[in-house]
Amino acid sequence: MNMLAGKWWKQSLVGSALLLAIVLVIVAIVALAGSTTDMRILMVFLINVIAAISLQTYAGNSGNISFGHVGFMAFGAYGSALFTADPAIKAIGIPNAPAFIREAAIGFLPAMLIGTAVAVVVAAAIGRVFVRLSGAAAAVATLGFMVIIYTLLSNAEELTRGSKAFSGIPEYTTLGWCVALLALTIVVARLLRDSNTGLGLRACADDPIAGQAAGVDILNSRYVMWVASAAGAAIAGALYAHYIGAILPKAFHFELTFVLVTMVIVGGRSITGAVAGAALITILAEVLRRLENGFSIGSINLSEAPGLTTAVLALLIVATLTIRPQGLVSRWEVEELLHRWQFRQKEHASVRAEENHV
Amino acid sequence: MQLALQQFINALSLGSIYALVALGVAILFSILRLANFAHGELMTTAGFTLYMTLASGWNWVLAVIAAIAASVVAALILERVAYRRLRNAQPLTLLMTSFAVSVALQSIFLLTFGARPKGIELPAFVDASFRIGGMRVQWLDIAIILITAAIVFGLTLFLRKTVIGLALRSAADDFQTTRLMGVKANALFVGAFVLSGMLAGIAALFYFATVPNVVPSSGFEPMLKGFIACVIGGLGSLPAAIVGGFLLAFLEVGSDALLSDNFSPYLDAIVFLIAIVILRWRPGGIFGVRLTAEQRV
Repeated sequence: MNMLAGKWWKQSLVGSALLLAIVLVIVAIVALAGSTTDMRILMVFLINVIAAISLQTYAGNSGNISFGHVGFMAFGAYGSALFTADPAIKAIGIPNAPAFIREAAIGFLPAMLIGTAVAVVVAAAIGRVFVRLSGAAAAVATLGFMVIIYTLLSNAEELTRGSKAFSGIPEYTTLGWCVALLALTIVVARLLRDSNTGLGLRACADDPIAGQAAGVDILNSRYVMWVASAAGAAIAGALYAHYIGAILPKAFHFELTFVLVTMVIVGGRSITGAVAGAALITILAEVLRRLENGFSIGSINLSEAPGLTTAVLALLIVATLTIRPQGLVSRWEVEELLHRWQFRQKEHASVRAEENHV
Repeated sequence: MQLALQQFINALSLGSIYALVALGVAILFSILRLANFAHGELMTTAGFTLYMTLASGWNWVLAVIAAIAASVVAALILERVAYRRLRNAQPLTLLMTSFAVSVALQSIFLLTFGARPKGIELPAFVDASFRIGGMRVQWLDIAIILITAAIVFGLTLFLRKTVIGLALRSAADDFQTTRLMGVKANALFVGAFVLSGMLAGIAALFYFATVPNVVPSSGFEPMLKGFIACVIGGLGSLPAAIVGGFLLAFLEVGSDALLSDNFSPYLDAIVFLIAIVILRWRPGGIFGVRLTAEQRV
């Protein structure tokens, strides 16, 4: 770490580059050797990583979990979808929507920005409540927020078609968009994490009294992270909508929340952890799905068993948490892990040298 | 006036169900610091037991006993399999584990019973009602209110007058010291989970008597309401959980009565929004700070 001392953001940039390089290697391997299905999984993985890193920006720094971030994803998804879908389709699907939405047909980036802006405004308006809560109360209140958004989306029929699917969303999301936005997310998340705000907040997560005594403003720091993470989640939501092509409120409910939050908790309390958790969960889910297809016990055909994948996945998560409660990478970032590994190698070597000497 | 009185009885009955769920949640939280999101699945277990026993022609008394027993047994299995190992884990890990357990149970229900709603064949007396003046009152509502009052009274006696109750209350104050006084940690865990499972079972009976069909995700809504009731009351305190449950029910019935019909699909959103607004000014719940320090149970 010493060689990187000096400006704090240098280490952040080096760490981000390293993490991004690892992700790019995965992308390259899948793009060269994988099938079409593998590419689809990769795209969903990249979108999930963006969402998980965004959630981690709040959860990992503040030590508070949020079950409400899928709500922000929904804002990004619906915001972007509403402004890009073909006006002809919207005239049939949502004839009662306001004219400026019904007739809008703007590009991907401005639409995504609109969705993100809506999410940021909502997050800024409501964030003051959640940053004052912690532990289980924070979890429950954010879960309530998720249900509020879900209820609004499934009933606002003139805008979202209610609980029916909103389809005909142009499929703009490409691998390039995903990688570019992932790079942006990683860099911003790392800079936030290593900034004074992030550092102070992480200190407070470990010991709130000592942190506040040292001059950290917990509430404002959490608030900054909350709003930033809502923006990231909305971007992931927009990418998701323009990848799948059809969205419905149910997609932004309990299941997605569970997947995202487990990625963050199983991974650990760092940005690297969010990526590692997302990778692990994606791989587990995929292996289970493939087993389910070519697998039967006696007369029970497991491929006809809905819920089996989720059940096994949830049990595996319980097992992972029992074995490694601090998460896969604990609180370390990728370059810190490397340093720790090198240090341990050196220590082993010196111990061995001493033994030889004696 | 009549309408208001009728709404008042509705709110009391709904509040009783929420208060029972909230109590079950608060017992585990105050004693073990465990936010058990799988509480709703304990209720679903009772619901499916009720469905199966009534469908195969059991007497309703037996079915009621079987449902409560099923939810207690499920609570004990959860304690043994999932939570006992994590006794010293971080609160966040514990929270996530209970979330995962809840999802796993929901998937197992889906696997066993399918996604289609199963209608529970309730005995006829559930719909019986009587009239006072021009007002129609369901016996079920009266029964729910009275039984809940009896349970709260019985629970208070149990916690205040018995040795087990004393041990549980002291564990809520200081788990380690309670162990040093010779109380086995496992016994505390089992005691808390049995109480919580019983409360979940009884709450499930009332809940499914008012909503007589059960799906794998049935438990989610009452669980969330119970938790929100706990949080706006003050998480970790039993009296606060009861007050929170009734407050939530009165908010719900009141908003439904005051707002026009256009808003009724948004009812949950409105009630949760009010709850969040309350938390803005009282992050520790209505009783939060004052109660939790000295008097948690």
